[in-house]
Amino acid sequence: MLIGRSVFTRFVPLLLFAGAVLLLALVLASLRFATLTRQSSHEALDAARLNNRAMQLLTLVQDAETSQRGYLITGEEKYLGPFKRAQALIALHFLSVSGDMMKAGISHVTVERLKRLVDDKLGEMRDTIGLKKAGRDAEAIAVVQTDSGKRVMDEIREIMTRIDAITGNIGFQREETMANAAKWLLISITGGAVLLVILVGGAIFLAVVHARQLEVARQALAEQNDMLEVRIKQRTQFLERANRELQSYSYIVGHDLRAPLVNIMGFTSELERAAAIFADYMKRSPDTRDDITEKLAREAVDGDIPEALGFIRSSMKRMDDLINEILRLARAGSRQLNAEPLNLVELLSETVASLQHRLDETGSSVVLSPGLPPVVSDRLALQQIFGNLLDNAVKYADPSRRAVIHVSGTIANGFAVIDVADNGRGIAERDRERIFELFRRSGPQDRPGDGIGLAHVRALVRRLGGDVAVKSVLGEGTTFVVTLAADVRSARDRGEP
Amino acid sequence: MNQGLHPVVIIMIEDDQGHARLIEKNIRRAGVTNDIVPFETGLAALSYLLGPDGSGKVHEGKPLLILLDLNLPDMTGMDILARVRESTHLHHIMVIVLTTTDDPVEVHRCYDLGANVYVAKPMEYEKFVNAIQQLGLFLLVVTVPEVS
Repeated sequence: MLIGRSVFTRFVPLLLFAGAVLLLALVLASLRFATLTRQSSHEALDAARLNNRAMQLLTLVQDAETSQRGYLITGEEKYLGPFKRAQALIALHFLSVSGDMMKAGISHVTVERLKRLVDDKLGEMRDTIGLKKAGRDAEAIAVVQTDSGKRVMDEIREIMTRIDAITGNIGFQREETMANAAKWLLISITGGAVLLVILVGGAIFLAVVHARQLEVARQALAEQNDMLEVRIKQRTQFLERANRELQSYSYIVGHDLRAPLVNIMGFTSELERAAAIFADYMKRSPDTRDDITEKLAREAVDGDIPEALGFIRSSMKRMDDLINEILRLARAGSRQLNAEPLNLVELLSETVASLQHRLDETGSSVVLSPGLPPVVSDRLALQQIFGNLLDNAVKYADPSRRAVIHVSGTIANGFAVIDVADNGRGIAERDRERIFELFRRSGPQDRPGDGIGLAHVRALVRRLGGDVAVKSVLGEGTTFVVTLAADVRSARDRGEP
Repeated sequence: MNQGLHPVVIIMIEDDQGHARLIEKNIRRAGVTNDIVPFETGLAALSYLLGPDGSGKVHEGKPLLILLDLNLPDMTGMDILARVRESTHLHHIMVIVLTTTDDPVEVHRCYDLGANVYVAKPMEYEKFVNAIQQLGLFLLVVTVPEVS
């Protein structure tokens, strides 16, 4: 996705830009071809017009000749009309056409020559007409019969034919150019249209893809927001739980430490009282000592004083034990966890081996399911957790039957769930939360213990990103369900303490 | 405090032996001479109180008084209180809660469950002695119902 997006964002706009440049080039080319077409058509038209005017010039000369001949033959003045008109027009015509002819590529020499020829012809015609007017008909005919007029006329015709050929050629060439330019114009317009479609398509595609990316990003953001809320909720729960535990912990510590302290103070007073009785007895002279004071003193020395000392000693030991246990728990809570891949079957086999002596003594057995999942967790913590649970299962076995402890497990959603199921004496419903509290124990207090093991187990399991729960039927057995993060590092990321 | 043929028996449920001994000594100093039956665990006390049939019929006709600590290793004093109040024969015997806790919530719950008196054990020994002796004086004058 990331690679696709970067390639996409890099190449598609580049392609679109290249397309736009190409389109601009095509538009420019089209303009160029259109200009060429226009220019060519102008030139072709000019050539045709030039040809036309050259022909008009020829026609005027011919008209003049026809008019001259008519006059020579008939001698009637009315035949001279076209000659006079032609003579006037030819000069004008020539003036306007000669520049265009040179522009069309007809040489200066040819134009000059044509001009001289036309002048010669007009001169010849004027001469003959003049002779005729003077009545010298034979001389006029003789001039015509010299054929000089005919030769001039033939040469004019020849030049006109050449001009016709030249202008025709120019027209042909320009038409050719025009057709070519029109063809290229068509091609460039078609190419432009195709490119335009591609560009618009590309732009739409880009917009659609971009919109889709935005939608995906928006969704991802929404999901993250949701996840954040869930995580905040989780963290709040963790904090609330930690707070509750801290309250119950301080209550327990307060109560359990105060109890032996009261004993110490109480029996210190008792000690003082007994000491006072004995001191009073000792102060008396032997003859004033009666039976009652003697008995009281003996009671103080033999009973009260050793009893008080005993209680003081045991209370101090109890306080010492409690403080040590609290410190041990605190140390366990702050110990650096060491995440390593662990095979639970191997780990539990070691734990069972360390209990083997007690298992043999009581005839108990532990069955490890081969399907125990692999985890990445702290070895020592797991050994302490399962060591405590298995030890409890053996300790609180039902004396009427052999203890059989099944350990099985599954893995799901990143959590390993391990069941430690025994067929022991069970736990009454009201005790199922209390047993996890510090210094609390369930059922008849007929087995040694301080009520610390399960508090320790719970603290450890929670540090490993999970929790421990208990299911039990009184008199039938108990199952402790230990839920652990399959990878303790992920639990740390989630913000477990 | 003697009532007819059956003097009141004080059932003391207290897991701390030192406390039990100090309470007994100070009650005696107040002049109480009644039998005191001590129990260290809730289960032992309940099996004695409720008897084999679980109804408390064993103690029928005897005046009983319970001195109850709330923090026991195997169950809470409130569990015992609730069981006593639920039983057929013991439901109106006198129960005095004597414990180190003075948390108002706990005090409330105990009275809700039917405790007759709630005494917080003071932490200073002088006050502790004083409280126990006052309790002893109270026991001397109070009239206790018999187990019905």
